[in-house]
Amino acid sequence: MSQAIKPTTPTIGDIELSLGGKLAGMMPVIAPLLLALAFILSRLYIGPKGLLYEGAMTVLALISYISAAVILVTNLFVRENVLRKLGLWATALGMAFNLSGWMMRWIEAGDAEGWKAGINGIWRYFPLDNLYPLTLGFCFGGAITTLMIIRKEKYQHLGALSMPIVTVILTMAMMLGNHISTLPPILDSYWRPIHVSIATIAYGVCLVSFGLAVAYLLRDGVRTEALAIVTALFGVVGVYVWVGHSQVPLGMEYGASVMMGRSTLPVRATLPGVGPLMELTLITIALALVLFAIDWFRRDAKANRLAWRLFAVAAGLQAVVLGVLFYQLKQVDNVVGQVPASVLPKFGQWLATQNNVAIPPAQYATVAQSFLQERAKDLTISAQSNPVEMGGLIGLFVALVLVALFAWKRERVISALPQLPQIDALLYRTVGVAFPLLSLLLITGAVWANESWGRYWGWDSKEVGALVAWMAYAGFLHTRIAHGWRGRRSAYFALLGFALVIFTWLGVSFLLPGLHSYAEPMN
Amino acid sequence: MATTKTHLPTPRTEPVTQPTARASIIDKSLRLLSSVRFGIIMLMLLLACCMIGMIIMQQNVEGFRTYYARLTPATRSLYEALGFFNIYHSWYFTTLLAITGLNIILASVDRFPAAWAYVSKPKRVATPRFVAAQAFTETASQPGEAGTVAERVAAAWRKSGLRAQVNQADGRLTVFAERGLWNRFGAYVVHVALLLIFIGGFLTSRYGVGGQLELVPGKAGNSFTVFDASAVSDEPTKRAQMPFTVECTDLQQSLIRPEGNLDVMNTIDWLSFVKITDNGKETAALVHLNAPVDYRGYRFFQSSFVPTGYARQVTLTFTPPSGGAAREVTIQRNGSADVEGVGRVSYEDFYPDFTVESGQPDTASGDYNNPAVKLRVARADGKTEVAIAQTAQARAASADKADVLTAATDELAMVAGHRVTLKSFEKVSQAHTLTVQYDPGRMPVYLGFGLLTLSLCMVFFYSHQRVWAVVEPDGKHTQIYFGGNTNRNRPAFEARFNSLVRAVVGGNAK
Repeated sequence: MSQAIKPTTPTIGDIELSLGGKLAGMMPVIAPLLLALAFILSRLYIGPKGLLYEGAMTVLALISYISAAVILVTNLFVRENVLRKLGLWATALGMAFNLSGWMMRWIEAGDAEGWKAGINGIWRYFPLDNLYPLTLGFCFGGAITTLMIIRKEKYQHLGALSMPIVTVILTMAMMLGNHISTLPPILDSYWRPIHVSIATIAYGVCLVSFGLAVAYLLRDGVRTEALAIVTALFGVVGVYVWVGHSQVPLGMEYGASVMMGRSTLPVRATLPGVGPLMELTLITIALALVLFAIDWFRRDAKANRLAWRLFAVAAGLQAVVLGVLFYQLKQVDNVVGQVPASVLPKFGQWLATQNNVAIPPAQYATVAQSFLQERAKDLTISAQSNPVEMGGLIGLFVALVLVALFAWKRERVISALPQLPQIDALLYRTVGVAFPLLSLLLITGAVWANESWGRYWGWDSKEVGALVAWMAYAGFLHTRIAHGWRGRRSAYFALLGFALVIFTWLGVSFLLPGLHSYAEPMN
Repeated sequence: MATTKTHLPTPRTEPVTQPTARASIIDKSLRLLSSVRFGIIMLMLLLACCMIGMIIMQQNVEGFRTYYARLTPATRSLYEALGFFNIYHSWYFTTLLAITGLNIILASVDRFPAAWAYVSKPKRVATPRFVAAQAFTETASQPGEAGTVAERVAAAWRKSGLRAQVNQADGRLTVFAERGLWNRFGAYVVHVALLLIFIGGFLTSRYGVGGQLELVPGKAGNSFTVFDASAVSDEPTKRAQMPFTVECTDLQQSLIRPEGNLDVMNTIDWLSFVKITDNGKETAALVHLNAPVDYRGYRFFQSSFVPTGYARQVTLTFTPPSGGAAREVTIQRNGSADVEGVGRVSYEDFYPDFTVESGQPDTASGDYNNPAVKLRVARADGKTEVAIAQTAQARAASADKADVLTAATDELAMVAGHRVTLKSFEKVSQAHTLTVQYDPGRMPVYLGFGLLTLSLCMVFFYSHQRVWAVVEPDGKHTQIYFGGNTNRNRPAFEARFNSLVRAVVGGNAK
């Protein structure tokens, strides 16, 4: 380079233009893809031996993702090169297992049905038949996008903000259950792999843009108290007010939904000790929230200190809640005995409606009791009883721990993150990829609907959910390109966009009715 | 390495839209309607309406009546008054969509002249000061005269794939090159695509017709039942005419387990064979799941089926009374075949769960519990007989029963002196239902989708890049002021800009 050319610090960094250099830089992405290919081919030619099962691969992926998340978060504080490499390669290994498991489900679905020559041949078994494989794909999308970013040393710490979310989502996937069910004929269309595959990658990119937005806000000096308030609100309003049919705040009780086979009945079995513990955690979080609010408006140092202490206690209590919850799920063997008598009349009424028979309201409880007694040996409770609630509880624990850690070593965390313009540029690039993908998601969904149902748009709740998320990202890009909005305001758009993506992915499937009921888990 | 002026791309600001004191109300309204802020507000209002529509169950969704019954009277009244049960068809939602569309049009019209001027009149002649104001800049000194150096710059850039021009003004030479000019119009194409989708949607809702057509082999019709989308009830209300006739020639149901029933989860595909007669011209077509048929703007989709068991074809055996060799014949639904020694045998009807009601053959259910086929036999002597053929298993199961039904079916199983038995049959449903769609908005919508995909790729994966090299004599040497900018993807442009500078100065700078 000529001396006449002034040496400057590049905005984004040096760009390696040689093919060899590019390939070497891409190794953390290419290597796990090749490893996954090797696993999939082994499964195809060797058969279901050793660990060559979808379930085993997904467990290995979860272990790797948990390790990656812990290492990457630790590296925010410790800053060791060995941790950086370990975090990177644990993510890569997790992605290889994740992709292998996801694709092995394709083989397993075909084997289960005997590879029938359906409308679309092998695409009939493409592993995007319900919410479980969609979630596997979502995690893969999140992991590969994270890898694309953290493979560069200067962005290494950004993985600490996306991998914990990937981990929580994969944990929730495990609770959805991986049973392979027969594909409803209407879904046997080549549009399904096209449309839903786009969703998995788009959601993954949105996940990483969310992590980048949080990183930007932290770097930009947003008070950690703001993060604590949002987390506490999520804990109180988003989790504890509605888990267990709002029995935690109202009755100090928590029960898991009773399952008959793979179907979930609208009745819960109380888990001893869990309800009071949850109530205690809820009160602790709520108190912390109140104190944070006092500090926010009055700048009260005493309230601030106390709030953070309560916040840390809440994180500990949440860990105890999860421990006791999973212990009790294993311990309760008399499921019928744990069903409170107060819920029987409503359950009896539901049974009458389901069976289309007229029963006098006075007999609802008796009918319900006999139904439960007769099928006592078929009734179970497990982590699969309420996967979204479990996901919410685990997500809350992770959020509490991360925010407490960030607050504890705030300066250390901030100094580890890239410069604001770099994060902003990365955020723009991820949203610049997510938005066309979300557009394609809407387009392919509309074309598929038109080819299968004879209409491109039916205002179905999932369609509207995808549209609303698309609008949020359109807002991000429009305000940036046409109005010059960037930085913190753009970051808020990215947070909103991902919240809407999560709502579309999970909330719509579990809470709202519509044509996309296939996306629900088996129950 | 390039000098970067700012860390972030320079934002494009909106044109100054301060209304003057004399601006009319129309001017003010147009400025408001074309502003980005107003567009964002509209977008957020639409988003809020969509969220309400997601959270409150809409009246066209299955289970709405149960949901409605659960609400308190006050909530019902409130939601009804606000149109929340059918929000996507409410006047205010339609108005919001229309205003957003108008905002898109006006914003594009408002900004297009400036964008066009920027594109059509590029700054081909620059000054060192102008170049210094660009996002990426460099300076270098090269030996030789200014003209030679400028040509050398242009040649190097041409070699790098750019169309470089050398321009002269005020005794100064400027080498100018650009690429991806069309990228500047990406946003406008996105807007055109969205408008096309809106127009298509309007054409569909205004002029489109949708309904259902039941198909039973052997039956033809030129009309279908129309659903009234605006009604709470999904009961059919009227019929629509087609300019041609559709006749069902055959139905087929491909099952996962052939021994199983006709339920949805045991089905791979439903196939409906039709014959379309249009002004005497006949066209055969096959409609099956996810594979609609198009004919003169009408589309036929496989929609549902009548879950009563039937047989697509039956295989029968005719056993002579003497016990000689049995004759076997396969007959299609509504078809017939000649059977030696028996006559012409026609397949008239099928009963999956055969019984006799009021002296007539009937079915007790839609399941294949006791399959039987009704046959009409035209004997060689001109007489006609009706026969009922059951499977050997069904006959064996009822052999020890001495009831009226057994006696009747025993008698009906004899035809022209032969005992007829139903050997096997191919399961199919009694009737299929097709969804019929006449949709003049389909083409604009699909065109809009295609254009949207292309334009989004254009906007986000390509960029408009401009580079200048102002060449000025500087004693025995020549000074080159390099400058460049891009509208997006700065990292890639930074690398390109550096390579363009390197292509000129190499290692021979001053």
